[in-house]
Amino acid sequence: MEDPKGRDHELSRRAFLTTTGKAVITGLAGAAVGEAVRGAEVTRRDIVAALGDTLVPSAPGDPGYRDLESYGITDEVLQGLSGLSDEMLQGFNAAAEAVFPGRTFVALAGGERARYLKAVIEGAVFKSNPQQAQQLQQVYTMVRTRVFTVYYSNFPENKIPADASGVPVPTSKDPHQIFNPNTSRLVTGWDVAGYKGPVRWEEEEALRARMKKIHWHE
Amino acid sequence: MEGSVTYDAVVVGAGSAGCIVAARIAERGVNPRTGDRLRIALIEGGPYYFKGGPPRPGYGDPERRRRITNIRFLEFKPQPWPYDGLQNKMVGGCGLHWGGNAYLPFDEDFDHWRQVSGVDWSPEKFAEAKAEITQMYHIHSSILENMNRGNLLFHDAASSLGYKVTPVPMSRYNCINCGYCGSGHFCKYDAKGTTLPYIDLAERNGVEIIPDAEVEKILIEKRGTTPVAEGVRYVRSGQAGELRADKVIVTCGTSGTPVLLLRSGYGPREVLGDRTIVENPNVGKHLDGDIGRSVVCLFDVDLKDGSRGGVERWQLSLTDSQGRHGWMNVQMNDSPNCSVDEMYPHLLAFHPMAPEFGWEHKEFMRTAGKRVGGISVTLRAPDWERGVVDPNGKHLYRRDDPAILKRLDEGAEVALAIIDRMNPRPVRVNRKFPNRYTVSHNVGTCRAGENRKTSVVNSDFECHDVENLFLASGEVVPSGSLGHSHIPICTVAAYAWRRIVANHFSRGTP
Ligand SMILES: Cc1cc2nc3c(=O)[nH]c(=O)nc-3n(C[C@H](O)[C@H](O)[C@H](O)COP(=O)(O)OP(=O)(O)OC[C@H]3O[C@@H](n4cnc5c(N)ncnc54)[C@H](O)[C@@H]3O)c2cc1C
Ligand code: SF4
Repeated sequence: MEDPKGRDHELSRRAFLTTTGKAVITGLAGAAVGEAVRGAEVTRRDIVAALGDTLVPSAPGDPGYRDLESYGITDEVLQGLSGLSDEMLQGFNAAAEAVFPGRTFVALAGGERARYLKAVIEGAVFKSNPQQAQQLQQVYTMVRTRVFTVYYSNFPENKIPADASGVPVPTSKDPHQIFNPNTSRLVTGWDVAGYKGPVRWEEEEALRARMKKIHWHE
Repeated sequence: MEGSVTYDAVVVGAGSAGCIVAARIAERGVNPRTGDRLRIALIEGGPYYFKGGPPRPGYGDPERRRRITNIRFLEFKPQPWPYDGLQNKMVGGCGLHWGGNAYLPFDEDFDHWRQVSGVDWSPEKFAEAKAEITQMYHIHSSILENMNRGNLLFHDAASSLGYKVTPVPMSRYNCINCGYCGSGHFCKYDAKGTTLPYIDLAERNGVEIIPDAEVEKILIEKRGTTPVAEGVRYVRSGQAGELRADKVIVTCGTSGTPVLLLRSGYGPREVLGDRTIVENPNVGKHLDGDIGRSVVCLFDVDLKDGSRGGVERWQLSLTDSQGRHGWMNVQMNDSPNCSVDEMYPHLLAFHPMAPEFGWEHKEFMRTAGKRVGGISVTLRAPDWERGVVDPNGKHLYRRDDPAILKRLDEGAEVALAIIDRMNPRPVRVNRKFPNRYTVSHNVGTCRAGENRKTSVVNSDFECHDVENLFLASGEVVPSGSLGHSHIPICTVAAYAWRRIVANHFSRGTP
């Protein structure tokens, strides 16, 4: 038999969390409150942006995720997170309360956010509720996978111009078909990792010249 | 193409084997009655994406280069088949992006094949096929000048322990050592040994290549009591079509072929029930391959000497207690898994040695691309209960067989001993291993053999149970080779076209 009380409770909680896709930060306490303000609405965008900033931090002279916000990195990350419900994300935000009483994830300062993520990974704080522990880890893993993938794929210089059938279209300046070179315009994940990007034409010629002296058949 | 035309043969699946078989039958075969050229169709579920001119090794073709950006096949559209085992769904198949580690079948492989299924194949019978593949795939020893610091660390440490270290055979032609190889990269410079030369040969010999057409069913009809293959039914752009042919040659790979046969009502009755048209207990069975483990390390030196990475490697091959060569093969890779994948930051970010997140992770990202390495151990499974491919392409087998885990532990011990001997030694070594494994380089699911009790096709690739139906890709290789699968499969395909031409497409054959 159904438990009407349980069902109502579940429905109302879900309705509260998902009808607008937003929740309200309540009960912010403590001195450090990160960028969130007491009473502000927290969107899934806010939560993912805060996670991105924690996963790939920034400092003056050492740009990271946050520095690509003006290029829309969080929107790009969100595009690959449609499988992650608002409810799960808001639950993740709210559960920081277990580590920092009365506070949400977005309301934490950088170091505190990292401590919360460690608590989620280790799971010990949430061991009385294994289902919640698992769900928090799932959110963390999904966002981590997506953030690292987008950030370290040279966003926002990762787009390869293509025609309607997906075939890359070279620009007139690109006779050698090097589609997304690593430019010096911006510091992207490729720069952080010291990755040069696709083989450039001069490099290709040099590699060929070297191999022509070693092992080649014309 | 469809409707009125009846082809002399349709080859289903334009992968490594399918391209060889279609191209060569078109080139060397004739209509046995008239002596005319054959009309051959090569039908493929995926697109004909890498068109262009003939291969230009070391340079690449402008049209193909444009399409080959710096991504791996898994990031490509269309996505591979939803089957277990890696698949590449396009004209060229896995033969376009494989890793280039090129092991011709060993004499011991032939012994094992004859032993498990009674197939009559031998090194002597395969001599011409081996020579063809050696030439077409440009198989040669790794180029010593390209060995980098990681390779040399392995070489010196393993040699000092008394192991005989040899260069890995490679399949490359005018390779510029660009670093984009390994597991799943297409070669922008036409330098990897691939299916391209065979696709070109097929085009030049009038093979009609029909891409984007997924074959749903082989049309099997009864003539009297004899089941006969008469063509195929496929779907192309949402439209169903039929193609009639005198001979149907299936080369859909180790997962794709049994799935197609089962969909066509050909297989074990216990799987098909009342959908059975022709019974053969071996369809989908005997899934075999090799099993591997990687010991991952982090060094504090640049293993790549400032380069992007290299494709060449040293290896050591150990013999088993019966003196069989290659039961364990050990190689150093400049990153784990396969070759230089981790040079991509978006993959390096998930490296087993990478910290979870934050400043530590960022610090790792700054230098680790040059410092991660590993030793991979590949084993031939001891005689084990081989796996099964189910009608959805799922691979079913035990993944925690204690005998196999024991061998993997022995392999890891060899790798760890070599690592401990390295100078400099890594700063971190992952010594924890999963207690499960995956079988890769799969073969054997419709194997060739003496009779229908042990196999699906005979030694000449003809189905035991259905007339005019032939199989000729990974599924017919009776058991895993001692060295990966690609070149053994290509060699078997190069033998297959010879048998099929000799028996069916030569003047005067019945
Ligand atoms: C990333 C990667 C790296 C590898 N590296 C190595 C290596 O270094 N050394 C080595 O020896 N081996 C390697 N291999 C393995 C090797 O590439 C394969 O074993 C070999 O290519 C398989 O050849 P095949 O002809 O049996 O199948 P495939 O090449 O897979 O061809 C099957 C073809 O059939 C098509 N097809 C399937 N079903 C249908 C259908 N119903 N209708 C129409 N078309 C269909 C597929 O799209 C495909 O084109 C690697 C494999 C991968 C994925
Ligand atoms: S390393 Fe691989 S991808 Fe690069 S040129 Fe050689 S074969 Fe081609």
